[in-house]
Amino acid sequence: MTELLQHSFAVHALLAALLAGIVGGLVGTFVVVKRLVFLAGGLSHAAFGGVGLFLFLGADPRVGAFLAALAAALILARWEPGRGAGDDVVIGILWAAGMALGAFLLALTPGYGPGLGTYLFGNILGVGREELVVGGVVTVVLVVLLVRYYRPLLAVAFDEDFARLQGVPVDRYRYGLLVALALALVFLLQLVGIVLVLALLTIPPLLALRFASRFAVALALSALVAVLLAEGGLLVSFAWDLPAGPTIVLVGVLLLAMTAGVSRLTGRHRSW
Amino acid sequence: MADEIRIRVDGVTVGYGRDTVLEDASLIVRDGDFLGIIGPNGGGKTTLIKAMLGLLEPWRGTVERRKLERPGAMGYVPQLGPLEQQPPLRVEELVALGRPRYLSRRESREVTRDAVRTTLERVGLQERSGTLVADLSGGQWQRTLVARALVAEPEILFLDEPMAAVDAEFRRVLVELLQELNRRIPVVVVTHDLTPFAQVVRQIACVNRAVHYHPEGKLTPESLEEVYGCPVELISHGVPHRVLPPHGEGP
Repeated sequence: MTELLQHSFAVHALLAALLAGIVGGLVGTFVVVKRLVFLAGGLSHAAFGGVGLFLFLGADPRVGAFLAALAAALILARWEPGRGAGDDVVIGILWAAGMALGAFLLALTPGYGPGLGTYLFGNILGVGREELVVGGVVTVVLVVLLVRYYRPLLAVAFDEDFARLQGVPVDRYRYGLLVALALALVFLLQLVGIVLVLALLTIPPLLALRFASRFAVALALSALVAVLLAEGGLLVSFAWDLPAGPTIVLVGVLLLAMTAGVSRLTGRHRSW
Repeated sequence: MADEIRIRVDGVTVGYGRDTVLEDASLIVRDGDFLGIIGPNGGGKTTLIKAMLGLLEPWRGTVERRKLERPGAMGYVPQLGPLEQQPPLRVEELVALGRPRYLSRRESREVTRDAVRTTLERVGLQERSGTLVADLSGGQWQRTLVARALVAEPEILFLDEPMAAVDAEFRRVLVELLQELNRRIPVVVVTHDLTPFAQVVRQIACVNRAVHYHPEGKLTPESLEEVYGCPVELISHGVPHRVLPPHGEGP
């Protein structure tokens, strides 16, 4: 282990996993409570369109991923289901279109670039110092905002109509949540890739909601579980030379199954 | 003062998506009113109060609210939603979410705690303040939502099917509470069954796509037939009635 920590790529990967765990665990709790899991899946796949476009243009694909996820989020936020197709249909279209555009433009991109697998399953070993600094700043800003606006966020998470009557600017919080989700996706795409991102947005919050007695505790627990999962999965992948993303997700699924079994045996059963 | 208009709904047409739910609805709620809104399922009762609350924007017409600008001025008890998979919240925490000054951190924890405790006592739920909402019974859940609507001391109170899932004891408590509140503020109740409110309701609006308003608080079989589209028999209107014979007596 000590030997491993002498390599900067391993230290960077562990730090990136820490940041991704914090952001994913916190944002994921709102995603699960607000039932936005399918939307998050749609955004992560739409983000791939941005990756392909920015690689094709020779720009930073992470910025492309963020902008594409954000654009898709805004389309969905303004979509009124009753006026046309349901929002699940729109999510499905954004999901497929993002993947198709990304794969199409990646194939047209000249030169020897990162393969499709890098984006589908993540490449945490490629994280650099600059990305860590940006990631660190974003994580701190998100945590500070969450602490500062915890009460209205809770009111919106619980009952939007009622929160509106209490003077909470609900739409502003909903858009804020979508921006946070787009940011979280960019982090998690680096760690586990597009295919597996939903696992990190759902498994830690589910575990936390199953055991927490307060929403604030659920948020903290979810971030902690996500960090432990990301770091644990990463170390396992280092030790046995396994792919990091799938290892992290499989460790999480195993943990979820174990806690479900323990809950059943002890009779401590929550609906989450 | 007693006749001051608080809400004026004027020619409102509103719905969801492409579906019109309510057409050309007009209604006035004044100080001192106790308005019962009845009508068949899907007739637009909830849509009407959501438009009155400003939660739905009318497609046509206007809703005017007077002296109700303060956050929390309009108390709202929504229709009982599912209790499963609620965020992990304790009763006291959920009720506190009904106080705008708590949400914006403009009051101390002590003030919030006192207001929550007093309100929970009013609905008889003080011993459940530390209970997780997911562990409440349907009736306790309803009481919690009533407490949340009252904790900001509203200027008007809307309740959507408040008697669903509550026991007989809380029915009595709720009617007494609403009667007491109605001495100070107008109350609007959406209900399938007016019987529990028969003693207190003063105005009735029958809603089935359109609004039929009865300012005297009395219904006739003819007026109900107009709303429900079929003959309706009135079986009780504030008069206690017995369906089963008393225990121990023969048929």
